[in-house]
Amino acid sequence: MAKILLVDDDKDFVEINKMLLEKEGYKILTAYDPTEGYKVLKAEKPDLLILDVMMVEPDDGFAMAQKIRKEKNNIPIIMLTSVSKVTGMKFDKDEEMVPVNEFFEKPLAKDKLLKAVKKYIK
Amino acid sequence: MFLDYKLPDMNGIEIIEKLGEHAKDLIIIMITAYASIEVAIEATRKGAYDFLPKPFTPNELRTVTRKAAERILLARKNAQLAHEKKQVRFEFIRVLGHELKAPLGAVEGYLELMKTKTLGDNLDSYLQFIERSSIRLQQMRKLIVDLLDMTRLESGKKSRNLVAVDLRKAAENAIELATPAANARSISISLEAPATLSIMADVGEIDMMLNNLISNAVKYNRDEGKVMVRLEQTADNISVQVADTGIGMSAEEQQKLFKEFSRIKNAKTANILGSGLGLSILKRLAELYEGNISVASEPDQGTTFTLTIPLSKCAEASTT
Repeated sequence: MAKILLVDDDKDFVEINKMLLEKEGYKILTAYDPTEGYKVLKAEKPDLLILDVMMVEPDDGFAMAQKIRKEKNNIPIIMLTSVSKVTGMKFDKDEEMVPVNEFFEKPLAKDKLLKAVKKYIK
Repeated sequence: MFLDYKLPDMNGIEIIEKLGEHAKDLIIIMITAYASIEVAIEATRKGAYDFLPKPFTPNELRTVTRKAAERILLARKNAQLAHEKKQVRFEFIRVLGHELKAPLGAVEGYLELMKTKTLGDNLDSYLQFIERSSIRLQQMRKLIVDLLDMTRLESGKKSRNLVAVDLRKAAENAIELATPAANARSISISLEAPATLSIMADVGEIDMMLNNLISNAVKYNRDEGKVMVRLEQTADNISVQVADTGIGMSAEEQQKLFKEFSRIKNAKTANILGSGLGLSILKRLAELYEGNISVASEPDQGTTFTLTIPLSKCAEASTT
């Protein structure tokens, strides 16, 4: 069974997506901050990482993605943010700053999320 | 720019006119031998900053130049301040946007799970979703109320009605308000205060301050913890001290405490609801009374907030 790790400090967000994805037959691991997330990543070796940009610090998600890539870990990463619309800042995939496979605005409709997940878990 | 009035093809004023909008970014000092009030007035009206009649002494030139230089410095300083203010505002709106969107996202998510009957047909299975949704909405409402309170305080438009307030009575009311939440976690609240302690203050503001301090002491406490409220009057001050036996915080966390949205997020606070504005409201309120709010804290031991208001600011007949 494919394993997905969800990292977000919003407990409800984690709960909701866990339920959605479990229903689709995935095994879901969860963490509420980057440190915890990193531990689970190492221990469980999930097939996909769904990561929030803003956790304790505004750029925690970026930092975590950069750290993972620095270690030559090519796990697919789907990054979600709720910040760019408000700031007018346009975040996007960027090899160096934002080394992720997909970048989405929150809230992400269920269909879009499932489609993105299926793209990386065959 | 030092600009002579009499020039071969055009005069100085015509040059200022030609410069048009660009003249605004320049400090122009007109130099002329044909010093007349009319030329001076016209040049100033067109955008010249100062006027230097020929012949001038080095000292005159120095004075005029210094004046202009000071103005440039001042303008730069103002521009920088305006820029910083804009940045702070931008950051505030960014975080506010995030804080408002997060609960909406959660509620939408739960609704979606219910709509698609993720857990089957039994309504009871969804009670947890409904419970979580209403908690998030409550929290969002609190954020909006706090935000409006803060905006009103900032604008200075909130009408203040200073009357004699019995601080002891106000503290008793605030304790009563916090008691259900405290009881639910077996937290005891004690009050140590003179029989009456009268100050001149706005009732709403005093309630806001006490409610904020006492509800925080309950929220960030441990189960079966204690909250100690102490009111005291010294020769110069009135102080309100609220101590708890809760999770406390590090020196580093204390530094950030009074900033907007600087809610300390860690494993210990993950399940505590808060708008992140309470303490910055408290600080602003204290400032209205020329007072001060300070914090002493030890991780896992507890936190003590002390609000001090100078008696001169709130002395009515502070009898008893």
